[in-house]
Formats: sequence, structure tokens, C-alpha cells
Amino acid sequence: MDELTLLRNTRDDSREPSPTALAAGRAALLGRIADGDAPYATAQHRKKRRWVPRLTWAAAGVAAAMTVVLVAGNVTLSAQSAYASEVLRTAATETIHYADLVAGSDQYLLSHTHARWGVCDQTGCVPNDQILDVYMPADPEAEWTLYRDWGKMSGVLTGESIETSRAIDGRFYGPESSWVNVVYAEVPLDGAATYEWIDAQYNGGSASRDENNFVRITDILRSGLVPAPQRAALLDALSRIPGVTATDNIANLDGVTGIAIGRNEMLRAGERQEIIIDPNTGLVIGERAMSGTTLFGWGLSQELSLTAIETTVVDTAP
Amino acid sequence: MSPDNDVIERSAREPAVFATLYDRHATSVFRYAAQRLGDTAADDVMSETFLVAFERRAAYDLTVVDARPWLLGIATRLMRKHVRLEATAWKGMTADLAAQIVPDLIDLAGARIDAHRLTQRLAKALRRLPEIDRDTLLLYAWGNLDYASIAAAMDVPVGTVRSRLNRARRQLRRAAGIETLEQETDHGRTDTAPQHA
Repeated sequence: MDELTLLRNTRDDSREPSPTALAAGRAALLGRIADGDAPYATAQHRKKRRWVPRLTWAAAGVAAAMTVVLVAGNVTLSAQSAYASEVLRTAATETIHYADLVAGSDQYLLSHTHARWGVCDQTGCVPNDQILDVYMPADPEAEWTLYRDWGKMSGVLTGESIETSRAIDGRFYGPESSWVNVVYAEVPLDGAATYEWIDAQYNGGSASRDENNFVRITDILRSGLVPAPQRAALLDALSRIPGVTATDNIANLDGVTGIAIGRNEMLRAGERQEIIIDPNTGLVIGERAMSGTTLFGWGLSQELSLTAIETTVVDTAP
Repeated sequence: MSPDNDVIERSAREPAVFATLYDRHATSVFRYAAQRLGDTAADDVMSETFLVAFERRAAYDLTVVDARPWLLGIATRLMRKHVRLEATAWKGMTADLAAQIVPDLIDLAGARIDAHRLTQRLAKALRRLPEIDRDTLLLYAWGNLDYASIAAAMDVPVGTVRSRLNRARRQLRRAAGIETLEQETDHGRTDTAPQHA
């Protein structure tokens, strides 16, 4: 064994960066990414400053174009479907990559959901409003917090209508049940690959394979916590599901309007499920489900569910 | 999983995907920096490495699949700002280092050498290595890069990497007091690398 090998044997692979340092480094990088693609020579002279949460709106032009194109594409169902899919696949992806919220090392990404879901019994269904505030810490090893107001229902953890629970990795309802039902790093970054990834995981369920694919993608997106690259890929994948169309100016439960991306499930009496995105940011701002749509999808009759999702950065959790 | 070069290529159009590179390699950069500078400074080097890498990504050679050598090269250059800190870290670290090396060197020397003196000599030799030789040596030893990857990281020919490692090796042997007749040639090559290339 020579000296170089001996020296190499002293390599210490047990050292690990602290979760705080790792999160801080990631936040700094995302902050720089959000700042834009400045040339290095310029960046070197940039004064160092403390990172603050920010939202970049660099793609306003692209988003505006997206809106115009989407409206223009609303001609016939078939044309709109094909056109919307294509437009969403490109414009939504481009848009979303330029807008993201970043939590600093000691902060939380807060996903606030105001949901109006039905509570059903043998006599029928009545709407019930719930509030779900999920605090995801930048430090992946820190506890997440869920504040949940069940409205007219009783919470499943305490029986009370208002519950606050804390758990590592968002596992509020048991070790096998993370709030985020996917490892984001495993989501392919390419839309086509993401679609194949989702489709390959189909194991039955729903009225059709397409509906199930749609549901599983929106299950991931509705958390409001998906990082921009994966979010874009998922939206792209969504646009690849047959029959997906886009509708402009749809209001979420809190009255914020966006573009609804959805599909009608013919095997479920034309029920239409939609996810609503803000065209200015690409952020998911809500969901909607409508029943009794006509063949062409525009004769809405009854709203089955409606939510509003808002993602922000906060310093503390309850 | 997309290879590193694919991620970097995509990041030109979609900057946010660059964070994927951080998730893959931040720990590796940290380990290399921490062994040279200690954990505290390594946190900064780790973070700064990816900021620099992001801004220089347009210059990345997209034919290279693995970005780790490139990142460790950036980290190495950033660590040059910490010469004094590294010298301090070396002082604390060389005792452990020498404890592992010394017995084998004693065997190599074929004689009993005073371990304490040998440790001191070795530590001194490591501290006194020319910067470029030390960087090359430590990219090999602690960065866990092969010769070709070191060449990519330092942007020099592979032959230069061999020369530098031979030179560093000679220094270590000399410090250990091992006067050997073994030719320090690399397949007939002589050490022609400039000291300050």
C-alpha cells in the first residue's frame, strides 16, 4: 500500500451536514435561482444580503400569453382539448418554473386550504367547510404541524372539531400516512416521464384509468407544497391525460380566480374534476368538482366540492 | 433519474431544476470541505459552491455525465480563501491522520522510527505542500475522485494530475524519512508539471 492509498483510507465518510445547514444552503440556492439568471461576474459584486422569502413573478408575460391562448382555444371540445393540452404542457411548465416560494432555514411553508366538501348520509349530502393549515418546516427533520378545523365534523384524532397535531414528515395520522404522499425527489422532472411514472402506478380504482391518473396527480398537487420543478412536471403530465381541457376565469372558494384544468369522466355521468391554477404564478390555488355536466362540458349544474389553497412562508407554527 | 448533465442542460431553460443537483451532491461537497476546513466553514463552502455552480452552469461541459468533479473543483477554489483556517484544521487533524499512516510508513521504512517525530514531520509536510499539489492530493484522498475526474475538476491534463500526485507522494515519503531508490516516475514520465500551473 503506497502513501496515497494510505491517505485515501483516512477519508471520513461519516461526516454529515446538519439538517439546518443543508436547508439553509438549499434556501440560499433557491433564493439565488428566484433572483434570476444573473451573470457570475455581476453576482460576484453583488452585496451579500440575508435571504428573505420572496415570490418571483418573472413569467408574467408568458402567463399573460398563456391566458390569451387558452381563451382563444375555447372553440370546440375536441379542438380545445387538444389545444389546451398542448398549451398547458408548454406554457404552464414555463410559467411555473419561474415562480416559487422558498422557506428560509428556520421558517415554514404554510399551505392553507379552505375546503367545502360534502358530508353525506342516507338522506343526502350537505356542504361542510374545513380549514387545513399544514406547516412544512424547511428543516426536513423538524416536526410538521397540522391545524385542522373540521367544521361540522368531529376530528379523527381527538374527537374535537378543531385539532392541532405535530409529526415528523407530516405523518399526522400514523407512521404509514404522510401528508405528502410522495417523495418529491422521485417525481421525474420531465412531463412525459412523469405521465408514464403515474400511469405505470395504476392498479385499478376510479371509473377509468385516465380518471385515476388525474386523481393521483391532483392528490399530489393539492398539498400546495410541491417544489416548482416537480409541480411543473406534474402539471405537464396532467395535460397529457386524454380529455383534459382548460377553462378560464374560474373562482376558487375564496373568490380568487384562475384557470381550471380538468376533465369530464363519461363513466361517472360526466362529472368534471378540476384543479385551479393561478396563471400568473402557476401555483395551485384550488380544486373543484362539478356534477351533471353535458357532453360538451360547459353546462354546469351542481358544485360537488370547491377549495381554495394558498401557499405562503411563515416564521412560526401553532 | 435524469443524469447530472441533463439536469444542468435543463436548468438553462428551467433554473429551478438546478436544486436537484444540490440534493444529490451537497453532502459530498460538505464532507470534502469539512475534512479540510472543519464543519463550520464547510457549511459555507457547501452553500457557496452551489451558488457559484448555478451561475457558471452555462460553462459546464454537457458531455460529462457526473457533475461531482466539477462541484468539488469549485469547492476547492473556494477553499483557497480559507488558507489560514485550513492550516489550523490541519494541525488538529494530523495527529489522527498520522496515527493511521505512521505504522505503515514504519513498515515501509523497514525500521523503527520514533512515531512522535514522524507524526510531526508528516504534518509539517502536508501543511507545506504547494497549494496545487495539496488540492490535487486531497481531491484524490478525500474528494474520492479518480485521476480523470481530478483533471476535470482542476481543468488540467491527466498527466499533470499524475505528476502532482507523484510530487506530493515524494514529499510525504521524504518527510517520513524513507529514502528509497524507487524511481518516482510514472510509466517513464518525468515530473514536468509546473509548480504553479
